[in-house]
Amino acid sequence: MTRRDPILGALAADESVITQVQPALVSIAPRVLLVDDDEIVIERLRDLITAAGFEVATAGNGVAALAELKRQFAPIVILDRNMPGMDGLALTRAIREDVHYPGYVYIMLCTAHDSEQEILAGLEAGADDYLSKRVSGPQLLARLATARRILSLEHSLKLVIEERRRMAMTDSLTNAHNRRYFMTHMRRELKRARRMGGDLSLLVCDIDHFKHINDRFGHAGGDDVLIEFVRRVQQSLPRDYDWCARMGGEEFAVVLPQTPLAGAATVAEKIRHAVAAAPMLTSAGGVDVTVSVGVTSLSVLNDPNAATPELLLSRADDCLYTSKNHGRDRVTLDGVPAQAKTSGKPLKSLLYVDDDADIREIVEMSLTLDGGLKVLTSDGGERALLKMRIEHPDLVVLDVMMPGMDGPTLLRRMRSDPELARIPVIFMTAKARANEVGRLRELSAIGVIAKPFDPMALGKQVRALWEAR
Amino acid sequence: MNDNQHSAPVLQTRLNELVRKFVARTALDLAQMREGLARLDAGDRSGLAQIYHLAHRTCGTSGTLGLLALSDAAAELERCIEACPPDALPGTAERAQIAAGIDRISAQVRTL
Repeated sequence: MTRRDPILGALAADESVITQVQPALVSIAPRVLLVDDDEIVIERLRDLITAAGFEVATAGNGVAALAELKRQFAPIVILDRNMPGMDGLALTRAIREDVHYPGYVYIMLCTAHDSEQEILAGLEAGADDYLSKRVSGPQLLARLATARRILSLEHSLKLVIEERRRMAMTDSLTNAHNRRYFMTHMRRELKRARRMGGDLSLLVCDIDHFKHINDRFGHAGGDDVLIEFVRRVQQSLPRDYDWCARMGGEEFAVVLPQTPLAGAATVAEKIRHAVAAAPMLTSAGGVDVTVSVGVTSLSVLNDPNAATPELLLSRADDCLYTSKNHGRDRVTLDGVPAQAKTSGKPLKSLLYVDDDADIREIVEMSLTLDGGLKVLTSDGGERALLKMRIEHPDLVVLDVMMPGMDGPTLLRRMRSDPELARIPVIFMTAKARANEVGRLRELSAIGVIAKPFDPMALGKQVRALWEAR
Repeated sequence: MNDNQHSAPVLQTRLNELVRKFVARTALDLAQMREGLARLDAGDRSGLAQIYHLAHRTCGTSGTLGLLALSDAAAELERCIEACPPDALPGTAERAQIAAGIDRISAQVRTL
């Protein structure tokens, strides 16, 4: 065998799979096609085989037999060696040469004489068994049982191969399709779109800060998130011909046939909302998850006919990176500038760092007036950094003047820590002169709030800076 | 499974019907064989092929119906014809064996 089927090859190498192949009898007896030019022989064999529970079809010559096999397949063919026109040997060869049958054809060649020459010629032409016309009823049925056992074995092997093929194309964790499936089926989708006309859209979705989720909830928690993510994506795809594949890690592709960019944008927003709508439950607790999405379509390409799965992936990936660079939790469409930041995630938690306990208390009270905001506080230094690592607040507000580690130093420490580097920071300072504000903003803070502040307006001020970041 | 229990007598009845049908057909086949023999006597060698074809069919069909003595008789006639020289008319002895073979088939059919 020069060309090995990778799946069959693996199958043969894996004995545990071989032992799984039980030739469980196919529940329905297979259809038998009788081919003979003598109607009395046909009638006698049909009586015997029908009585044994098989469905029987008949044909009076070779050409009629081939036509009947095409009309309705029969996995067992009993044929006469001597027929006018196409004889049994020619018919056997014709069946063996046709690769388009839905399964194996078990051929039993029937002759009036038991000459060795005839038997050898029949087997060489491709027959599986040889019958004398003088065969007794019990022997005929016993040989049919053999045929059925062989066909059952074929059936069981096909099921195993089908299951193997499905597994080779499926992500075992999430049950979504995998990258291999994506590559082969995306090519088919492109061909279909070209043949039928109409658009085809691709979404690339990447779970935001997935590394943090793994760090905080462990890999089991990360797995729970991936499974729940796929569930929510699939719930957002009501049409049964839309599909989702895990491309690796926390990156997923969603394929929307017959869908233009605008329709794909709607689906992408639906997915984004479904993911952020409620915390995902993991064995280690609930976790808020967001997703960044890049969307492209055949119709936005200059030359849709030149599209390949790789090209569409790379365009959707570029859009995904735009989403990531504009604050995550958003959708970017191919050829459309990044969305305004109002679509970003709402501010839910904040850490206020100040060495003055009185001011901490005032800030905490005034921000708590703003419903739905979880306010944490810290008196600064390493304790502040530790609290950030534990709590992962959406936003950190830093007092500038603090003993030990001042605000700018804390900010630099945060930026050099990959886990904290992306948390937006607002400074609070009593020395809010123009040059001081400019210097602080250069440190990558999203805003500066002057002290003394108005406790009743502080929440609004913080939110305005958050939205405008 | 119930069908199978019922089917034994039904199958036997069907087999009897098929044997009657076969006997009627073989009577015509025997007439054709004798007509082939007459053509042979008139110097037409194609009569031999006609007899061979009918003997072969009789052999197969009777075998399928379980009429083994008849099937053997037909097979013997086939072998007689196969022993004839390929391009010449059969000699007197061979012609007599063919005629006897047809008679044996006829005798077997009459026992049915």
